[in-house]
Amino acid sequence: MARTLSGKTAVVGIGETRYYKRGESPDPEFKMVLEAILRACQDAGIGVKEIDGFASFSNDRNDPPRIAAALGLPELRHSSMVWGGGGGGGSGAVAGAAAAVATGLADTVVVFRGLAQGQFRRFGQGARLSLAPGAEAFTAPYGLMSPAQSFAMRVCRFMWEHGIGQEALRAIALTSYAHAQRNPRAVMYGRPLTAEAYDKSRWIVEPFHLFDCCLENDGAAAVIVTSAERARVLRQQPAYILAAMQGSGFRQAATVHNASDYPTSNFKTLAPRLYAMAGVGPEDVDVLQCYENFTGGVMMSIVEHGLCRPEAVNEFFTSENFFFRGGKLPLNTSGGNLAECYMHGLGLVIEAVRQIRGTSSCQVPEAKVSMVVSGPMVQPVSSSIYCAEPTP
Amino acid sequence: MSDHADSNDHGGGEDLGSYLPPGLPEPAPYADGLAAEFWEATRRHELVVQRCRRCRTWQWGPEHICHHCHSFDLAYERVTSWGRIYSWERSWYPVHPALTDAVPYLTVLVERAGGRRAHGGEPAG
Repeated sequence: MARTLSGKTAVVGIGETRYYKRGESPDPEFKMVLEAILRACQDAGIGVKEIDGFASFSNDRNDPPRIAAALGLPELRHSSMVWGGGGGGGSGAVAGAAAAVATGLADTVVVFRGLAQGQFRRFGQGARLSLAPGAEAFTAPYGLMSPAQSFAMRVCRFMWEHGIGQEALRAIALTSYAHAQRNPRAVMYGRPLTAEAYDKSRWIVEPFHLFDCCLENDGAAAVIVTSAERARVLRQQPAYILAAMQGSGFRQAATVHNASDYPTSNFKTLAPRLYAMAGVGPEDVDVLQCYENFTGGVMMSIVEHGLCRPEAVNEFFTSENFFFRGGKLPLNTSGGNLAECYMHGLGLVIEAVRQIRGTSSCQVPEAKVSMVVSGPMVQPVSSSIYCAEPTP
Repeated sequence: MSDHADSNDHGGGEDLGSYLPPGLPEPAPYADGLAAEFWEATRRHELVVQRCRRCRTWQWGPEHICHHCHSFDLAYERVTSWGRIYSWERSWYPVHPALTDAVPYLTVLVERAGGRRAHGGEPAG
């Protein structure tokens, strides 16, 4: 029998704190993580003390032993971490949780992420150090110190190779803001974005305007993964995990921008495995939550997941095609990292689950196959596919 | 490439720190010593890149092992600083206080023959 994770587990609970602008949370990061977990349990209709495992990513500061002690869990049976920065591990953490459940290591695993950027170092600025040791030494002298700068170099090359214009990136930003106007949880709810305002907005680093860059927020999010059998008798419509996995191509983490395949979101090796596990193809994807650290990463991710050929990007990337109602590829229907909240992409997993439940504020009619792409251009990256049934 | 690396080909040149705006973090090897030979070479105004002594594979950035044959016997060999601009970007947001008066500035990614890449630019404006 083929070894597969497909259909054996499901997301049965989702929980979020209120999402704040950076520095505005009245609560410590750890407390927000606990709150998100409690809400996810409540949503699932399970007791908090049934939790027996944890999975997270991006070197989350809030470690499971402390959480287990804080919650008085009778037994901690499993914990796992996807290394690497940014949101590359978002779907990978779901995969870790699902793998633990499918193999009997644990029964009820929480995937969580807590992020209070106001209480710790910001991502968008260089460290205030007198020395730049290690890999940073090769870039800092040239004023290249932030994620935006690191990724703009990849995106610039990709756009040059395929003759892609700024309007493609703009369409991604406009889509997220349009969807956020229907989502009261979104930090940018009530703050619509026009094409003119995008064009006039300041550059951060070309080709990224301000609105091509993710937000910086305080908050926490959690989802609960359990077995497909148990999911069927719980309160919510299960979001069965058809596929979830990590990936990273040959030497993608080579330093000094020396990956041999450079203008890439790093999904080329993962995407075929993802679809094979899920038993669906790109043409079956009804709705996509695609991690926006920067819009350029979304563009390359969509291409590398086979949803648009690179030579068709200029034509296909319009806010109409990405709109939840009538769009060919409904994209980032909560507002995502650009306009809902930057919870390192765990909010995208939650939104994908909402689409399966039929409860999104931008609900795609009859969404059956709901996909999440986590953390383009980092190493590792990850993706996941959810469905209302354990088989597509 | 940077004016410093150019001096690799022409002999001589300014001090290491001359193109850095005051206050920008200065380059240093990894905490475990990796890349120390590279930075020593820059003080001689030489651009060097790792090369495996056993299988002769070039490797950049630096690592403790050859990714091709897994030999730990890596040399730093001198290379030309000439190459083609592979990608570029113009930064407008000062990511460090030392860069406040330097924006906007260009940074380029240069690919030398054989495919190894390095950065250059003029953050001081």
